Amino acid sequence: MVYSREELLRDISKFLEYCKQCGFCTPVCPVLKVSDYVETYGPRGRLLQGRGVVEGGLRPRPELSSRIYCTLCGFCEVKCIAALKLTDLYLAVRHYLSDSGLIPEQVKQVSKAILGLNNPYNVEPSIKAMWLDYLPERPAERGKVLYWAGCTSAIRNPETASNAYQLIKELSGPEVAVIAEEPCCGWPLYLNGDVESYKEQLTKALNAIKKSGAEIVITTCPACTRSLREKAKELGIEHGLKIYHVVEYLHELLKAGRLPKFELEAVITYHDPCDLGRHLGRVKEPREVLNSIKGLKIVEMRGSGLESNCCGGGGLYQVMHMDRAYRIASLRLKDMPSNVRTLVTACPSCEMTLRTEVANEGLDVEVLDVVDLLMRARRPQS
Amino acid sequence: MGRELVVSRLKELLGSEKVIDDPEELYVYSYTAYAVVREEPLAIVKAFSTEDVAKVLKFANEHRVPVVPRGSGTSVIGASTPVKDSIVIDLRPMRRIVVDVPNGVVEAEAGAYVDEVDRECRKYGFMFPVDPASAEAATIGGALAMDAGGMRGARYGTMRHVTLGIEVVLPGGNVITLGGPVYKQATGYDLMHIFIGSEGTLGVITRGWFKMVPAPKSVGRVVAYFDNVEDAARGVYEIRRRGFAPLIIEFMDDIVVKLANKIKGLNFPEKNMVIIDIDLPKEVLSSTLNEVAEVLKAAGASEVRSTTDPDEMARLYVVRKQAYPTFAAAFPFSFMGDLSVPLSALPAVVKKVREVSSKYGITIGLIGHAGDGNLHPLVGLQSKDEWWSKARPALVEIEGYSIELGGTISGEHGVGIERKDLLIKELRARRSEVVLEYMRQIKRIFDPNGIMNPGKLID
Ligand SMILES: Cc1cc2nc3c(=O)[nH]c(=O)nc-3n(C[C@H](O)[C@H](O)[C@H](O)COP(=O)(O)OP(=O)(O)OC[C@H]3O[C@@H](n4cnc5c(N)ncnc54)[C@H](O)[C@@H]3O)c2cc1C
Ligand code: SF4
Ligand code: SF4
Repeated sequence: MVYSREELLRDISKFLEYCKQCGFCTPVCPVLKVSDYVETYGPRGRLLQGRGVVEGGLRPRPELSSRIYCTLCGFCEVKCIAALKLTDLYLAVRHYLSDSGLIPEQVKQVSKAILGLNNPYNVEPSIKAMWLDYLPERPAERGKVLYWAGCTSAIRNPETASNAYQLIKELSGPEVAVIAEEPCCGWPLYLNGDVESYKEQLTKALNAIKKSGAEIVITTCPACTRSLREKAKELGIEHGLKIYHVVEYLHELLKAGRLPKFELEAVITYHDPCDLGRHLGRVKEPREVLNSIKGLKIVEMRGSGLESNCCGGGGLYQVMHMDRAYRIASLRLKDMPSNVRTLVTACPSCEMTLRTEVANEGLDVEVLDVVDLLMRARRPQS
Repeated sequence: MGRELVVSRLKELLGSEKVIDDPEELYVYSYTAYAVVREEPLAIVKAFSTEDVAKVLKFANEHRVPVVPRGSGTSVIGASTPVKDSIVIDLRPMRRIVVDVPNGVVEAEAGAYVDEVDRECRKYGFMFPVDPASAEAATIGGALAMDAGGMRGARYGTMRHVTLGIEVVLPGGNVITLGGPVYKQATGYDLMHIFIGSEGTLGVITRGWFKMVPAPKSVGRVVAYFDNVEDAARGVYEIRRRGFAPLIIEFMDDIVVKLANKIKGLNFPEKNMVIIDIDLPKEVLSSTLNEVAEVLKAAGASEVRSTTDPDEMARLYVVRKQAYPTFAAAFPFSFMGDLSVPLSALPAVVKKVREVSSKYGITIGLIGHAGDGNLHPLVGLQSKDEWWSKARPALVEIEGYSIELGGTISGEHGVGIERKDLLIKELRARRSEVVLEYMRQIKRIFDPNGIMNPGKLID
């Protein structure tokens, strides 16, 4: 079913009515900052392009699509004077552009890869499963608790995936399963506006999970968490599974007094992933988990919590504007407190993007996931 | 000169990456904050340097192409709305900030955000004195061109009072510096102050030098709730008469508080509210706050809270911070007015606002920087059509009334397109209509071809 201009108008009319064009959302936009402050690349400009499309002032065309793509970091929403949930509007416009055949070519390739190879990176499933080689043993295929690596942890951060599996196994018993041929949850399809294909891919992923016998699903990817839990619910897909981001799971254990003692003498800083912080509202949880490590000191970055600056890695923006995405990452690295050399985060996309930029710039900074740090901070078992 | 020719000549002069004329850009730049009118420009130039601006103004002057300087487009009276067939110069790529600690001066390029400049100053124990509510988005150039003010206006004044010098590009491309990084200058006519508040109608400001003031080390807050506005005004007057020198004195009427409670889920007493910040050394701060609280109680406040705890201070301020967002979220269309009156006229303004509000059947709340008599009526509308039939006449009545009270039709938002008639009304009331002619003559000196932001401020 094609998403028509009338439907787009229905879905975004509230935004168009309530936006005062005040521009309060613009200064925080990472994409605007690396686009010479040209309005169409900022939040007010994106909203107004949506207005132009539905009111007929603008003809949808590839150049417009290219400007609509941003990192979907959600910082503009925090600043919006009219409390608008702007990322919903951007996604609705992406949906319309997708159905009008105006998906940018680079993004089309991502969809093709997911639908063909079950991951957005266009690699063979066997390569996606290679992270399992990092494990001391072959994990079970069935179990009550499932570690869902997600494509980015599995393909781009295999060590993190391996650490996550081992940590979860230590904390929740031997019954931790992994799906060797884990399908993509489909989130990038949703991000590029192909809502129908997304629903199919999501259903495929949920079926694979159910087949594993899992009741609890823990993932290192906050985007997978949004997809499998929040979006599935929004779309009315009942699955009865308990889906956790690993930080949420660890936090629950901490609150129940079931998190073991960790110890590590280190000074770190924490980068809030947009998907986990602003979109899932988990800001205090990662900090409480990290603070449970004896000897660890967290020094905050400039811009943290709900006001954290984006790393450039989200929203498929990187696929479209690689150079600018890494300039955003570079800006984020400049937010690090001086004298801190360890940057901890809780999202495989942030980890990958920031680590790549650290390498590009030859910086003396180590980028880790929370689970990597916890594995380092385990006390030798007596 | 046709669009294509203008664009291609600009691209030759500046390089094609600095000139944009895609339909998406032209459409998006046609809007500015709370815009009632919009107009697409011919092209947009991204200015990275004073030289870029000079090249554009030389070209535009020769060919008589209108130019509209633009910061963030947060001006609420259409000052930065493009005019027909114009070149918009977006100054935001020019954002260098240099703090000169020994001399207590900060230098900033036109595109830097006011808040960004403040944050730079604070790294060295200073702050930028002017703090418009729009500081995170408003640029230095926009703030200078509008003579912006803020909460600390009662103490430090507006941009006019903190600016030491500016660099300006004139139509024709000449670059001049007026004033400079010195605290005193007695060298003839003060042309700098003609450019501050000129709303982009004389030239393009490319940088400025400003006074920094020490960032307060210890601040406390007193919040008082009044059943009636007369008492609130008397409270503020008593505070000043007794020689307290607050950092800020903010006012909010019960209509705004009620609405904020409802829309933002807050729980503040639904009364007229006065917020006072005092900065003093720690040893005397608490006792001074108590004295302030006593004065406000004696003036008739039914409830007074005071604190030095930063979290509690922030909590008490939430409702004031949420005033604009409340109206923006509660109404599909909302607008803000601006006027400045002698403080003793505050109760009269509130009374007038209530009358006008019921006359037109629309919601109007009142907030303001009571310390300097600057008030903003906030108008909420259900449909845009009500702007012409209700909101605009209501604001004209309220702002016009400020003239009768010895005040002015704008404390800080300026004239732009939307208040030109009110400016004339104000000058007439003062029997000073000739001022308009002086303004026109001044404009002709700097901008003989009339290319700078035509149709704004004066016709
Ligand atoms: C919610 C809200 C709250 C506000 N609160 C306040 C407040 O507390 N105090 C206050 O004073 N204002 C306030 N404003 C109004 C507005 O933010 C200010 O006028 C601000 O200074 C404009 O800055 P800007 O960068 O957005 O300028 P723009 O809107 O882009 O431009 C404003 C005018 O300045 C001219 N201009 C811009 N840059 C230059 C330049 N470099 N050289 C010459 N001319 C230039 C433009 O041509 C235009 O005439 C508020 C606005 C909003 C939406
Ligand atoms: S979601 Fe982030 S990147 Fe996208 S417009 Fe908002 S602030 Fe910019
Ligand atoms: S802050 Fe909100 S209301 Fe203001 S321009 Fe941005 S989207 Fe519109």
